Amino acid sequence: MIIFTLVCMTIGAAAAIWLARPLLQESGAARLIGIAAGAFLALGALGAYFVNGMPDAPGAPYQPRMEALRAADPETLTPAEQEAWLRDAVRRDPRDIEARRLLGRFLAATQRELEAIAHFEQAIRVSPQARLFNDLGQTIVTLNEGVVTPEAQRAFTTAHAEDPAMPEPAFFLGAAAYEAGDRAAAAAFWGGIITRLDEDDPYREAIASRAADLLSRPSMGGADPAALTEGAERPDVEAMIDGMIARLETRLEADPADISGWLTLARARMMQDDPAGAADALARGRAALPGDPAARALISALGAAFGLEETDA
Amino acid sequence: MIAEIGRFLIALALLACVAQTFLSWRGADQGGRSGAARAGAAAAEIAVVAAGFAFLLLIISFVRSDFSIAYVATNSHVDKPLLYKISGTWGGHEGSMLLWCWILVLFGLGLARIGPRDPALRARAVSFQGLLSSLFFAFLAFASNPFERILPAPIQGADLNPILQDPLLAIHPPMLYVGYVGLSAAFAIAAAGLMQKSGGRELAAALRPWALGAWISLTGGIALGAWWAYYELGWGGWWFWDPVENASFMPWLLGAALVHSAIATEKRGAFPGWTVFLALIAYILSILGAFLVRSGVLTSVHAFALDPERGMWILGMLGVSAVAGFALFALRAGSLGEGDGFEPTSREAFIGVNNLLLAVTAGVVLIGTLYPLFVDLMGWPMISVGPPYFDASATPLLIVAAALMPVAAFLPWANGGAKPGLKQMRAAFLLVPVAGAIIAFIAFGAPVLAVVAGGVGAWALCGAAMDVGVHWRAAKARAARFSVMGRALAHAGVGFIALGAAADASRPPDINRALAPGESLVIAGHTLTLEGVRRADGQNYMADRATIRVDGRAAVSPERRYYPGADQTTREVGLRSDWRGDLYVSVGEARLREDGEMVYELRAAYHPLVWMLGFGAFLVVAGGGLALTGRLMSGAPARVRGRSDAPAEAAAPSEAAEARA
Repeated sequence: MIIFTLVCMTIGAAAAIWLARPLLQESGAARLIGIAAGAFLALGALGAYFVNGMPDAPGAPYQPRMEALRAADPETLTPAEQEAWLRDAVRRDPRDIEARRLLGRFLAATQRELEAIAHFEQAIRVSPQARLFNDLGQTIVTLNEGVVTPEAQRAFTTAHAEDPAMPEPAFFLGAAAYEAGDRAAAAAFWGGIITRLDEDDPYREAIASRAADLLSRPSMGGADPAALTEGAERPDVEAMIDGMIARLETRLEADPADISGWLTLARARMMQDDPAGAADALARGRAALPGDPAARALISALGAAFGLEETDA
Repeated sequence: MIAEIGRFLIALALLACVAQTFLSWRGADQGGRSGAARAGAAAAEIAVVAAGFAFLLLIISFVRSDFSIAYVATNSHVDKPLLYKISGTWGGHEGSMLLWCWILVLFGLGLARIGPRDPALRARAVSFQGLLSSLFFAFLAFASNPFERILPAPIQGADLNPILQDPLLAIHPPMLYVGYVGLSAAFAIAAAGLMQKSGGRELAAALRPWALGAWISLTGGIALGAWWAYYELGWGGWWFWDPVENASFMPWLLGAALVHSAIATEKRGAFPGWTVFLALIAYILSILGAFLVRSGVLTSVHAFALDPERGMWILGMLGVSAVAGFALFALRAGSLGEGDGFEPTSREAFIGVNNLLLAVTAGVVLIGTLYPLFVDLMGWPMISVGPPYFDASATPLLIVAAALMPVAAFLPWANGGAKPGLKQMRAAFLLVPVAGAIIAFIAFGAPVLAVVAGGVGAWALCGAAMDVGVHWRAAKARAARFSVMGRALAHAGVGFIALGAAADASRPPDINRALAPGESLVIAGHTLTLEGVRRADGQNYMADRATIRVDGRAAVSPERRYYPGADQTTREVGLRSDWRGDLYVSVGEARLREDGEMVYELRAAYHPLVWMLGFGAFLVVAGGGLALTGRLMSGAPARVRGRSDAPAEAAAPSEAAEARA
């Protein structure tokens, strides 16, 4: 404030003298006019300044602000400051994979997927890591409203090949297989993750629940039969479910290792308000796949979702 | 603190302009040599220094990305390249208004230092310029201050509109503003002359260099804007009769009329009132242009979207300037005097007819530009006035003006004689290439207006060539030769522009097609093959760059860019130019075709002889520059007399011959 005032006074005084000088060289009224004009200029400028001026307001150039941010506790930063912090880190070291990855994730979480994808791609160019491919694939999926596009599938395939233990790529590859109608492949991907994850890993339960939900859906173009026949006569739906159950029973008799079949059968029984039949279907599935922990996890997840007691076949 | 010092400097410049107005006025009353007049000039110096430093501080704030300044926060971004951080200073309303104001006071200082020779007229002109500057600085200080603060400051800026992040856009606005604002000097001299009851000749002589300089800059600015629109906006047009384009075109038309009218007034005393009127109205239309661009009353890619309150400020400035100028004109036009008279086939008669055509064209453009606003004001159903109206009304008038243009240079002043003039011009001989151009355009299937424009373009070119051939030898002095060459170049430029516009209007239809890599399309006999598309990210944007092979050889590389800071997508066109024309390709969105192939939307166009537009504009600017140089070298303008004044010519034959040239 003091410096600012001094600067302004100096400028104003210099301008006033410069303005008045030609008049001060004359005599009489001209000198008075000169003095008045100089005063008018300097004081008027200050007055005009103070109409909207904010002499106490500090400037905020970017570099000093970033230096202060870098020194601050990251926990105390606002989201905008966190983003600026990450951008600054990337700007200072474009090969900083971790900062770039975090920035990409931040951008993806704030619906700026295109920019996030660009950051993941640049990070991959520096270091082609599985987690970067995974982030890239997930962001592409989000951008495409949940659809696992060929680009996303390529990213997940690479990530899965690099690190088969990583659950997310396998989950999305399973989802892609499921979208393509290949339930066996989907079950294999999802089952693979479930067996790799620890029993108490929260991801294991989440993935098993989601996989069980998807694999138990009747294979009718991917849609729920009840939804497909919305508005239709009720007997038609029941007849349809009866027919589906009969076909499933036949199929499972021929191929008892079809986990999706057992799950679908249990779901169909529940649609018939037959929890005992559903529990029986799950128990038979468990019995048919005794050495497959992934299948057992899926069956347990679906049973839990339906609120069924675990029974023996 | 930088921002607050900048704000103080703007306030200081405002007060300096007010002081300039009053002190110079008093100085003019005292004959123009008193201390008050010198103090008025000193005030102009203070305004220039203060506004210049304020502008410098704003640039520094952009470079330092100080987002506590609202204008910087809305027009910049940390990741923006340095060039565009700097050019962003005048990329938005407030910064460009500061630039406008700085140029205003620079012209004020120019008038104070090298203005009219009559000291009283000079001081009065400096005073009027101070008044105009005060109006704009008040608007800047209180309604459009570029140092307005935003606290707490955002950590990141919103970025400059990506289509403005272009090297041409860094120089187009300053040139345009020098043109717009330069006309204020002509206004100030005209108003001062009316106030001082100066003679028409004296006034014309005083304002002509200023008007010419401003008009040259306006020409350059408009040409750069058209070029930018051609390659940046992605649709291949260079002129669309957009209201903002019209806002610059109207002062240009009147500036062109003024530059020529001033010659007739200066040399023969013809049209003194008209010349002064043009000087007043040309600047008033400049302010009208500012109103159209900055009030938010219309939508355009060029416009600053702003609130109506600022529009009212500009309307107020427009009102003050118009009332002051026209009231003076109404009261004092009689003091400008009468010319010596002329015959209908004299040079001044042709200049007068061309002036009339240019002014009517400006009127037609004004009506077309303002009519939608008027309709909106009346609450009638919305309409838009577009190219069909202007092509049917303004273009034919311009074609007639261009057709008459080459003839005037061969006609004598005052006592006329079209026949000897046309004979000297060898008009019949020149009609051969004109007919050739017309036949060529017809053969290429050009529309009627393009055929006519092509013929007129050839006519103007031939006339300009003949002008040099005939008048170069007659002009002995270097200044006169500059004038002859300047006129010929400028007129040749008009010819090239007419030819280029006619050729572009005859171009084959554009092709829009989705291509997968390896696929081709054919346009104007050229096969364009999409080789592939790859990422080509820049400092502050992400881009898909297509590689398109032309006839299996050279490649063009259009881009589709996404600017995350501004959340906007732009197209960077790929151009392949040779003397025959431009192949113009832009790439659009990628999509999955039904057959599963990833395809890219391509827009391909062929613009024959489009280079002539730019070259023509360059020649107009170069010609204007030579004419201005010649004018400045010659010093006092030569007064040309009619045949009845032969003894005077005999007394000073070389001077008269040069002036005739």
